[in-house]
Amino acid sequence: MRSSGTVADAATAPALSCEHVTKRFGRLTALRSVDLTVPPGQCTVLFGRNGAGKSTLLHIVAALIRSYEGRVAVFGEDLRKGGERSRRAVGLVSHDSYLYNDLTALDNLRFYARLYGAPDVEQRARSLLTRFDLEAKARSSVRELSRGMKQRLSLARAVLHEPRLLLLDEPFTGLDEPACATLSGMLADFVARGGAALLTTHDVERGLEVAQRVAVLERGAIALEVPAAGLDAAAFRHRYRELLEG
Amino acid sequence: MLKTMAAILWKDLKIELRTKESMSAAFVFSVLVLVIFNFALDLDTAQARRLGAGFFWVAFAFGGTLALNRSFAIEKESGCTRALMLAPVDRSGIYTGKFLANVIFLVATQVLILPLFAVFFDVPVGNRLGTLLLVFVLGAVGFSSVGTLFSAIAANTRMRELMLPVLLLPVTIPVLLAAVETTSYALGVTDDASFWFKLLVVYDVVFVTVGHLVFEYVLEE
Amino acid sequence: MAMSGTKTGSAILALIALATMLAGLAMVGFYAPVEAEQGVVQKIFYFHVPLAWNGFIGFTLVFVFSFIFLVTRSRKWDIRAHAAAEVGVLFTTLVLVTGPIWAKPIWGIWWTWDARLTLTLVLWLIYVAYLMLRHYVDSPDKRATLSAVVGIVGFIDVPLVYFAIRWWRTQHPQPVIAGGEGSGLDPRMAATLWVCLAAFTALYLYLYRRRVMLEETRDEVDDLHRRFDERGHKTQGAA
Repeated sequence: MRSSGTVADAATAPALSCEHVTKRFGRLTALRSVDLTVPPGQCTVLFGRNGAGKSTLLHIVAALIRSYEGRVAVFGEDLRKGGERSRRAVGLVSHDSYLYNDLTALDNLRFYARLYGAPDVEQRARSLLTRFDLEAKARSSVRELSRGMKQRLSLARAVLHEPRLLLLDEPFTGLDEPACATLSGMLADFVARGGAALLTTHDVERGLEVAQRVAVLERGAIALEVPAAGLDAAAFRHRYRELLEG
Repeated sequence: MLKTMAAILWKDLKIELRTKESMSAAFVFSVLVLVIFNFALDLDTAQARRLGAGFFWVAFAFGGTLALNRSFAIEKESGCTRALMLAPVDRSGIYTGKFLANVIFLVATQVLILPLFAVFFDVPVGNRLGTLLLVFVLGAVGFSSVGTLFSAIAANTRMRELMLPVLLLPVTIPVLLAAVETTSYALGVTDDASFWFKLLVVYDVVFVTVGHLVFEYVLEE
Repeated sequence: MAMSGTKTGSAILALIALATMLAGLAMVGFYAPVEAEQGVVQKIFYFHVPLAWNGFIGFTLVFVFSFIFLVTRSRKWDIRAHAAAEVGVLFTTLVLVTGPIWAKPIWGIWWTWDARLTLTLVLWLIYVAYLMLRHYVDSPDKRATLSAVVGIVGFIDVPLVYFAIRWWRTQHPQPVIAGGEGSGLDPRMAATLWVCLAAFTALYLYLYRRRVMLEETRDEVDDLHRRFDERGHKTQGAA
């Protein structure tokens, strides 16, 4: 074990660290003192039923929601102080596609590349299309793409600015088997390149497939948080069902 | 800020070039309003010339509102407003980009309507054409400055097609009034509109500035 | 959450409003002279002008509170902006009602797009837009922020509307409804006007204050509900 020092701390800083995060919407408390850690270079899957608060948590981490209690740190930097740097380190994939339906796949990526100030817009857009197997559809408008292709394009858009933490909000919704498999593959690829991911889903099978770490959010609070390795899938499923019926 | 503005402007222009939805909606609706006026108010030639400017800008106000509505409707469609919020960009750049795109669409619509207007109301538009085009631009800038802001606001409501005109029309009364008076001047109906030109410029400067400053509050979660 | 103001404070304000209003009514009825040209109908002036005054002041308050809200993000100022707008729109509606009531007997027509009344109508429209916006936004945070923006933009617009309408009316003159109240007022009329002004201002402040207290009470009830729900969770979740 190394002696404490900022260099060592920076190298091992978790990708995401949530401490006592609480968010209220008027009468409703969406998040109740949430403590969650996402280690770098791994995919953490957050399970929870609809309305558990998963989207809210992701939106806070993505700096979309500014008013909340508690502390959120992305790669060691407090979200409230980091500003632009924190926003650049994070990418978000949602069940909204974040794509302009009337633009082509290529134009969408070109736009976001410009928006994020990528040095070579054309090259960045085209290389992403290749990486996500969408070259053939470069000049097709987004409306013409299948759900699976749209999801891939959304993912391409999310990693366009080379974030180190990827947030995915129920990404498997509405995807068929092959599309799910493709998405899982691309996610694995992202993690293999050193990225960290936090993925929310209520689909236990898919989630366990991609997880290196597993957590459960129930009624706004973390009910469980364990590494996925050595986790008995059946036992987890049982425990998860118990928690939901609570 | 400029880069963001350019990116947004390019995107909105590209979308409009492909779909032509904003401009066609504005154009068709404006023409309908002009036609209905003609039926509702059986005017003789002299009256039509004297009141023409008013009809033009009423038609513009209604058609323009449709175009402005679309400005943020396309963002809301696939949650793109969130995507814009995620990006580490100066939010007033988003405002400026959209504002400029709207000005371009509105002026283009006005230019398209002009020949029809000249024919329906038998108005000679050639005499001070340069001035007329200037009025179009100043009017569109004023209308867009508040319109872009309110379009973003209305997009957050349950009834955005209702909320945008309810918010926009009272607040744009000065610019619409000034536009009508300066158009009358450009059409040779009146002889002096210096006050109204000044009002147009003041309105434009004030609200482009205010819109720029206040927009970031509108684009929040 | 503490409530601002107390029942005592409100009671005092109510008494002031009542006292000044009674005094004002008495003066309008018995003290102020009957105007030469217009007759008794002119006495609507003593209601019409204070109502208009408070309508505009109300909108200024909406602007100030909206601005402070955007700076502080404190719900307290959102409540106050909303209350100021609600009472303000009430008073402005009454201006638009008393105007025509005054105009009809004297000029024979209900409305003439007179500059001041038109300005009041536009103000009314902006008030209504502000309140409608609040009604149609679901999220409380967004509701506060978006209406604050509208409150600010609307207020900045009012002087421009005033100049536009005034110039327009000098170019196309029409009979003036709210007759020149500043010029050559009989001292008894002026005195009556001041008392009525005080009375309606007190009434405005009283209604405003009660509205604020109502909203704060609502917030407190919501807060209690939330705490109750949470406690329910704690006993359930304890395992």
